[in-house]
Amino acid sequence: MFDKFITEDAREIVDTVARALQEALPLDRLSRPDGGLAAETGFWPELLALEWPGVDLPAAIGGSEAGAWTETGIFREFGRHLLSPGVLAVTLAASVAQEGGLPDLARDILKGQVSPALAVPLANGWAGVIGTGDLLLLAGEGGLSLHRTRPEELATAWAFDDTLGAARIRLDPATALTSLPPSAQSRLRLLRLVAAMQNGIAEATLTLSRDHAATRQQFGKPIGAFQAVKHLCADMAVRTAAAGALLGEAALDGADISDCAAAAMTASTAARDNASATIQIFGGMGFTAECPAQLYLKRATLLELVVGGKEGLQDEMLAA
Amino acid sequence: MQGQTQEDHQFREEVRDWLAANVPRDRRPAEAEAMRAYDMAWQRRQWDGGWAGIGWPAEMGGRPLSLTQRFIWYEEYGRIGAPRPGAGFIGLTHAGPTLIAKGTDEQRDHHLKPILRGEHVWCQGFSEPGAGSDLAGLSTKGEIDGDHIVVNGSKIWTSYAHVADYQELLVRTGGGEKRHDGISWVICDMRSPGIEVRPIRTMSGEMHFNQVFYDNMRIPLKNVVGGLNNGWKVAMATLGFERGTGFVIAQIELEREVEQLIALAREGTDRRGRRLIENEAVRAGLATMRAEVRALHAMSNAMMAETARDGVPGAEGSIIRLFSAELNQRIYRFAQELMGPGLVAPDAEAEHWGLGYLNSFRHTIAGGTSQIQRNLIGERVLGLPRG
Ligand SMILES: Cc1cc2nc3c(=O)[nH]c(=O)nc-3n(C[C@H](O)[C@H](O)[C@H](O)COP(=O)(O)OP(=O)(O)OC[C@H]3O[C@@H](n4cnc5c(N)ncnc54)[C@H](O)[C@@H]3O)c2cc1C
Repeated sequence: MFDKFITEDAREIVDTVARALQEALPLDRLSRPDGGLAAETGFWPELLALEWPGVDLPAAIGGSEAGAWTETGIFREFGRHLLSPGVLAVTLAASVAQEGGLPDLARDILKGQVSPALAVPLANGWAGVIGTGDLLLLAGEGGLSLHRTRPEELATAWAFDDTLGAARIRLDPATALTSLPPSAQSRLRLLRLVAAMQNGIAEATLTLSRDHAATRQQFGKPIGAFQAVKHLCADMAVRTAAAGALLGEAALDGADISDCAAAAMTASTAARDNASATIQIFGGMGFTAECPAQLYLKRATLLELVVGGKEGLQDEMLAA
Repeated sequence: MQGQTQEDHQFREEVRDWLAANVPRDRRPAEAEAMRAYDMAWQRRQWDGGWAGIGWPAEMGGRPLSLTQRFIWYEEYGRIGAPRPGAGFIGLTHAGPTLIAKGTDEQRDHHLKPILRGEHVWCQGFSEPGAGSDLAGLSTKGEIDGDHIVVNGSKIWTSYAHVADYQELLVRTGGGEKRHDGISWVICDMRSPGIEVRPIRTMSGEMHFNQVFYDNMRIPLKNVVGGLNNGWKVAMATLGFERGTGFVIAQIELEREVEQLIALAREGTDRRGRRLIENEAVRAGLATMRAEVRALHAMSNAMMAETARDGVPGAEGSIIRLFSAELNQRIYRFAQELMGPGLVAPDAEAEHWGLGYLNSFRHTIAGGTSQIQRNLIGERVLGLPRG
């Protein structure tokens, strides 16, 4: 679907990115003690030098204007390889800064001189931060805004995804560097890129499950021979195909907010349900921290929150 | 529950009073040794109060209550939110009952009271890397050498092995025509030379289970329970015990969680400032869950009554088990969605529901996966042919 319509040029770039990620950040990095976020941030200078986060941003701020298909394809690879939501924060913060009239800040972000993190609004003026950074991109119903922060201001404790950390901070809307309404182009980008990452997660978990079902033997045969397992895999394939088709629509020129919302909503459900099914198909192994299935589940859950959760997306779908 | 007498009512009062005065209120520590100490101290307290070994024979240190009274005990236990047996679980619900049913006098004398007094932690060494759902495919070898069994191989997902004193261990001691033959159920001293325990972190970040390696570890033959090469039957008997009253605590806990969610929905507001409880989707979810938790309770009431009549729990246990595991998952997924972005806030509420959500994944895997439960229901309850 998405893959059928992607242009040759875009595909080539995306394939290169996929190969580089496979080499630099293979999934088995996550079972090494130093392999989580540390390995990923070690790779970031290279990632920025290759201009992946700015691949569809204007040249004036250091982007390479390669188009939405390329950007979407690359973010799908980010999802597949379990890159942290921090990478989404980089592209989005640069996009918001540029759209909000702060080109210098946008440039600094793409150069890696500022490290942005995603935040979602909580009750009473608080925001929940996913990971940590010195620039927060608050993604809420009112739109998108950028806020300076100091990492040491962030009060941390238990985190849903302990490879990322979580923090709580009070954000005063008056001190925002810039704010964009929900209709902004950057918000379309957010929805499309979350859809892309969720597609990567849905596809990766489908592959993990399929491979395990084909090789793990119990009762003298591969567990995929049992319909109870085979049908779980088939359902995963159906969800993944639907999400992939909508991702293609969201990457078309002229895609509107409801196209992007449909893609983000369907892909988020596919990613979460596929990750849950993968945990089940891996049995005891699926319940461990070593198995990537749980990280896919946590990332899919957090990414869904960044676009307003299930309810936010439903509103978006019913807006017109 | 029906058929409660005046005596039962008095009993309930007594249980309530004792629990209210004795249930530990401090948080269960996360660190292994401190966690063990906490669980064992709570068990010891129940022993001292005369509440250890509910349903066990008196001569083995237990408190042989009527079925109704056992039910009342667990109900009140769950209602007040008393800590689960934790590290004491296998000893109390598997190993102890197995020794009561199949053990020698020597084995019972040595092990039962320490379990009840909170002195010994037991773990269950059944699953192996190659044998999970297909337990009869286990290959950990036990070779007879004089009056010992020499064990080589590995067990995995062994809960609490890192703090355990003993293990109920299944090893292959005989050839046998059928795979179910030639398995023995043995008492393994976790301090024996040749044993190594490696903790495995769970997806919720906890150190709960382990892989255990056996390298020429020697176990005296007198530690075999229920006869050499007869372990499959012994093991099946053990798995049956769990289906009894122990589930009641989990149900009451779920009931409390649903009530807490309803309270949360009454206080909290949705994105438009409306009370969550006025949101139709939230109402539908909460109402369904409240009914389902009640159904779970009713199903176990019925099973208890049946067990009382027939003496053994029926195969319907797998229905309750499956329903309970999947209901648990639905409830926590609903809770996680109800919390919305609150999941990202590093506070106690996020931790409670977030951890509950992550841990809910274990229930459809541990102790027989949902797929296997469905097979069992199809074959043993409905009489469909085996796949
Ligand atoms: C938190 C936790 C604690 C545990 N504690 C213990 C413990 O203390 N002691 C112990 O011995 N074990 C313990 N276990 C292990 C548990 O019993 C096994 O994980 C479980 O039986 C599944 O085995 P497996 O992991 O090998 O998965 P597999 O058997 O490999 O199953 C993989 C997938 O295949 C499916 N499948 C397999 N066979 C069939 C079939 N015939 N039909 C349809 N589907 C099938 C399963 O449902 C599953 O989805 C624990 C597990 C967990 C998660």
